Amino acid sequence: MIFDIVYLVLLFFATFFIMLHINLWFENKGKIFLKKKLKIIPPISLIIPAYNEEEIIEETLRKIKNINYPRNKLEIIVVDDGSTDRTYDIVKKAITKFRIKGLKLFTKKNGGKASALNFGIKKAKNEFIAVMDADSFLDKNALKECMKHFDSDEVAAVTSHILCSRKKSFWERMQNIELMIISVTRKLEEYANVIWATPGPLSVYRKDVLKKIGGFDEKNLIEDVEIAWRILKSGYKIKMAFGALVYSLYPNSFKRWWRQRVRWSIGGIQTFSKYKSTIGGKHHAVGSFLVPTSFIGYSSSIIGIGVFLYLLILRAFDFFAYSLKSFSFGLDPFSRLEFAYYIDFKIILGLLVFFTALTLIKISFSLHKWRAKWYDIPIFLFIYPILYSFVNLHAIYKYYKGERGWLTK
Amino acid sequence: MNVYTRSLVLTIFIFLIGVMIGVLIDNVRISEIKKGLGESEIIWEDTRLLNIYIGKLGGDECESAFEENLAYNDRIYRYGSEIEKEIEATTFTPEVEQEWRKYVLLQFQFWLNSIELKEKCNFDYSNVVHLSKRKDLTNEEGIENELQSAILLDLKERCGRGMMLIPLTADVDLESINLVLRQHAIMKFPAVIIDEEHVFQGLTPAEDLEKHIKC
Repeated sequence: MIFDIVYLVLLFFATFFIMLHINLWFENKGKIFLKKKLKIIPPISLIIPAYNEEEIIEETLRKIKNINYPRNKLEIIVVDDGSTDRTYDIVKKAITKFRIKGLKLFTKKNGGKASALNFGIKKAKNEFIAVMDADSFLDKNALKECMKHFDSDEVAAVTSHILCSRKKSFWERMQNIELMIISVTRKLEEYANVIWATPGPLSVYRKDVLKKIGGFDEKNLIEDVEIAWRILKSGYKIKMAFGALVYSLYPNSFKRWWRQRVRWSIGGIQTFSKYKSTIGGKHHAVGSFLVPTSFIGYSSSIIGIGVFLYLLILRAFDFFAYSLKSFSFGLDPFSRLEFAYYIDFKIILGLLVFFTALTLIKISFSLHKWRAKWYDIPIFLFIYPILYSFVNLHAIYKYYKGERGWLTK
Repeated sequence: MNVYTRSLVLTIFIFLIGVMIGVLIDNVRISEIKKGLGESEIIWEDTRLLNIYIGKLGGDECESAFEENLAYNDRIYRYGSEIEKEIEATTFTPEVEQEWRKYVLLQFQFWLNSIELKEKCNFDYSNVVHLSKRKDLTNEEGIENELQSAILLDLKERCGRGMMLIPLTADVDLESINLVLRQHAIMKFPAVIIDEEHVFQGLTPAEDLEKHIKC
């Protein structure tokens, strides 16, 4: 009975979030694809923090050369965050090799991505700060697309439409499906002003707002989420430019995927801990939506996997005890084994929620040209989310053990 | 109505649809169980009348009464396992518990039929009653119940028509069953009663039971 209640509560929250996004979709789908014009092209400082990026940085800079943004209005700042490889030298050579006008290279003692970004902000001279990862490739119109959404002083940041640049390995394909769905949900979250992240691959900020709120949090492992929460808490808006395409490198193996997600999850706990006292705050999205939903998200994944594992172990233990006793009585435990299961209302509800979730996935796929392999979708739906529960468990363990390092590279 | 309230209303609506479909499925299940038990009741009545007929007109029809009794037993046994699984899946209709009690009564009637038939026609099969608990079972008790069933089903397969297997649920609050428990002083489950005289309490191996079954 208790497990039925847990199941129904988790299902209720899942349904609510799916319905929220579906509602936002039907309410705003006309607005999502409205073509906006950029009347004034404001000057931007594009900051690229780089730490040990010798393998990719040259390609990133080569592609930046093709960005469709007036050169006299684009300042590019590469911050070498104390790389121990050839990153600094490669960028230096690329400046002359690609003749990128306005590119400035700085180097500093290693202090993490957020510290590199804050360093870059100090050096930047323009009123808008674009931030991109060193392993991301911008579509040539990405910056212009972002700038179209700064249509009022209330808009403090605009984020982009991120996809995987490589989709060869199974893990990359999983993440690309995830990114396709996130791209739609994030755009929809704009209409409720609850965009919870301004991701590293490309986000543009107002410099004065960044300064006012104190820049990026150098202690947080997911500074791009923390800054978004702080922007919203300060009463500003975040928008998403669906037309601003960015292709980023994502982990191509389980090991790398795991390390990255554990790091993100630890960062999530850090952010939640920082803002948990704002819960119930009616005037901003953080206290009334992001803190409660992240709490529900973490606890659901932990409780869900806990119940699942408990029942699995219990059944396995029962069968083991049954088998042992069967053998001691000279019986074959498999001879009368039955796998009968009857459909009950919990399964019906699960199916209803599953089909509403499929609607959201169908919308995401209809807005992207890329097609996954036939078996990717069932794996993405039924196995991939379970992995997140283990990621969160591992992250909570590491967080409370005090292991809050970068975990990559 | 803002988007959050609307989403909440829709979520509740989806849950209500799920519950309504669940109730519908439960009702379909109940009507199937009722239909099955109704048919079993007709067979039981048929067998009972046949027994009266044999009692009045002599033993020429013993074999046919025996066959009827066996067919009846097969049928209610099948319904029994169906009902047991359906009870687990049924959430909204407590009526299914009543159907289970009816099923237990039909099994009890079968037992009485078998006793009567054996006396009248001098058959030498063994009546083997398997008494078990259904409610508030510990894991250990559940495993022992299943194992006792498996042991008895194996014996039934070996003995065939030489053994009548009658599964009875002990905790259904029926006076007839309570009387059996009191008479045989049964305190521990699973319990097995062979030919109304040999009583075994707790999980009993096949060898101990075989000694008393005319297989």
